Amino acid sequence: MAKPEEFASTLQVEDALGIERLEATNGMARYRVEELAKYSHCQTLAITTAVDLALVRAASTAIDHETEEMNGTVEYNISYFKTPVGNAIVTAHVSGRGTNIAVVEVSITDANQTLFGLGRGTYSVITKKNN
Amino acid sequence: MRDGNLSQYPFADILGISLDSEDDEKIVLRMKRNEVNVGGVRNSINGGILATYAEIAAHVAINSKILAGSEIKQTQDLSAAYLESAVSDFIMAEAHVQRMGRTATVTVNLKDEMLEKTFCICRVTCSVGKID
Repeated sequence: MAKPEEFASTLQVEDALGIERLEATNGMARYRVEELAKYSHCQTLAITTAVDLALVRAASTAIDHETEEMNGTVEYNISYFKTPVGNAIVTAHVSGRGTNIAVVEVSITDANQTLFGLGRGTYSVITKKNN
Repeated sequence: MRDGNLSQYPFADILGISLDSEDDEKIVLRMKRNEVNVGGVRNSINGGILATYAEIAAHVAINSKILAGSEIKQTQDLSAAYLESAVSDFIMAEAHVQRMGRTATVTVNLKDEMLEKTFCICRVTCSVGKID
């Protein structure tokens, strides 16, 4: 399981955008995103960042930190198909692992537990040079 | 230079985003590297922030072409492909509107300040409707 201090470098991003880490374990990570009540057309902006944070953090729980290193998001996509109500919960699950990649699926629900967004991303993993 | 409607976007200031140029073909935004937007691997700009930056650039580009009485309702789809770590002092966002209608599609390329190296290629689709 990834240690919280491994992600300290994103704390300012999270604070600035109203994103809160909830949990990360066994290939899963979950974040809460504050509602932007004053900006109805901008509801997804912070969620878009949270999707990447969640997929990275989920991937970090599915690698061997002794022999592997995190190497960055390769790509991801999100579809928002309903208008969210209240705070959003972003949940990422690692659905596949290869030698150099982790595939992560992301679901986004609102305060009514209504699913309003789905995403999928791939994250690059490399073998540490001393291995 | 006017702000291209950036003032209506809540994170533009804190992320260091400003309007660089605007013409009939494209909108170019500029994001200054700062203590908030860094947070990716190799001390690069955070990938999630880059995607949000592309989303803001797409909205600004759509707003530059939107008909009077209409507004962006919501982002519907966003995809981002990360080609290289974004490590330059300024990240430029070149946004081209590809389609305007009830949905609007914008391609956004995130580049270094010289517009030579592409860090990230994004596509953003938004729903557009009458102002309530």
